[in-house]
Amino acid sequence: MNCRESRQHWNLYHDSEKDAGLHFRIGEHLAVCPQCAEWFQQQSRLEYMLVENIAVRRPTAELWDRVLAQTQLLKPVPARRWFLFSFSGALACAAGILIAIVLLRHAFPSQPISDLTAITTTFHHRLAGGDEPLQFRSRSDLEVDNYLLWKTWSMQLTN
Amino acid sequence: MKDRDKSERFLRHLEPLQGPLEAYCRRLLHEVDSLEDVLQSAVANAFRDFDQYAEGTNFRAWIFKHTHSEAMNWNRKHQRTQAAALREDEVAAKETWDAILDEPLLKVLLEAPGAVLDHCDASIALAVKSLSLEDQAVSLLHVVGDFKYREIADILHVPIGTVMSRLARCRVRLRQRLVEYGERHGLHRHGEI
Repeated sequence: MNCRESRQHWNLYHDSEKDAGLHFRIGEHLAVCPQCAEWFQQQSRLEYMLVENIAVRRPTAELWDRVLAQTQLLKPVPARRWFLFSFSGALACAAGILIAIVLLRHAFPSQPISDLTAITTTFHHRLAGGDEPLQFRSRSDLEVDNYLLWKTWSMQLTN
Repeated sequence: MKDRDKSERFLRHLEPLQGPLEAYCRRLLHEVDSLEDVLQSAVANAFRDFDQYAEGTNFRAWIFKHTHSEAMNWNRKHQRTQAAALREDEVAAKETWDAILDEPLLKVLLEAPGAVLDHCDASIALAVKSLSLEDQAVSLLHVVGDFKYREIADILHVPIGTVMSRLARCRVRLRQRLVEYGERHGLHRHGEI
C-alpha cells in the first residue's frame, strides 16, 4: 500500500471500520512511513477535537423533566410546583401571623393578660406549697367545665 | 402495574441517552425552539411502540431512529431553504477525500488545530448546519450517537456505502470551513507552512 492509498482510507482506519486486512495493510505502511504516520495522527487529533466540540452531551434536566411529564412518564412538573407553592404559602402565612401578633402587642400593651399570668403563677405556687386549699378535684372533663363555668358566673355576679 | 413496569423499563433505557438525543436534535433541527416538542413527540412515539422493542437488542439505535424520524418530519413541516447549504454539483466536485489533502492551509490547521478550534464554537455549529440534512444526520449520528457505519445505515435506511461517502464528505466540508475561518480571522500560523 502506498501513501495515497493509505490516506484515502484514513476514514475507515480512524473509525475502526471495514475489514481487519485493510487495517493491517495500513498499519504496515504507517510503520515504515513516518510522514503518513504523522499525517494520520494529526487527522485523528483534529477529528477528536471536532467531535468534542460538536457532541455536547450533558442533558438539560429541566427540559427532560418537562418532556417526560408531558408524555406521562413522570409525575407532572406542575404538581411539584403546586406543592412548592403551597408549602411556601403556608410559611408566608405563618410569618405574617407572627408579625401581626408582634405588631398588635406593641400597639396594644396587654397589661390584663400579664396580670392574669402573674395571679395564676402565684396561685399555682401557693397550691403546690400547700398554702391554698384544693377547691375542686375531678377526672371528668365535663365536671371540670361545669365547675369553671359556675366559678366564672359566680365571680361575674359578685362583681 | 404492567404500564408502570413498562414505563420504568423505558426510562431505565432512556436515561443515559438523554444527553446524546438532546444534542442530536439541537444540531439537526432548523429551529432550536422546537427542540422540546420534537423530543416530546419522539419519546411519546417510542414509548407507544416500546412493546415492539425486543429487550437486549440495540435500544440506542431504536430510540435514535424514532428521534431522527421525528426531527426530519419537523424540519420538513417547517421547511426552510438552507442558505449556506452546498449545491449538489459543488458537493460532487469536492467530495473526494484527497481533494483537500494538499491544501497548505489545511496542513497548518492540522499542525495546530487548537489555534482555530478554540475560537470557533459557533462557526462549527454553523458549518454542521450548512451541510445537507442527510449529511448532517450521518455526521451527527456518528459524532453524537457514537454509531458504527452499519448502525447508521440501518437507522437512515441507506446503503452502508452511502454512509461512508457522506461521512467523508462531511469531514472534508468541516475542514474546509475551519480553514476558511482560520484564514479569515488570522488564526493560522502562516510562517510555519
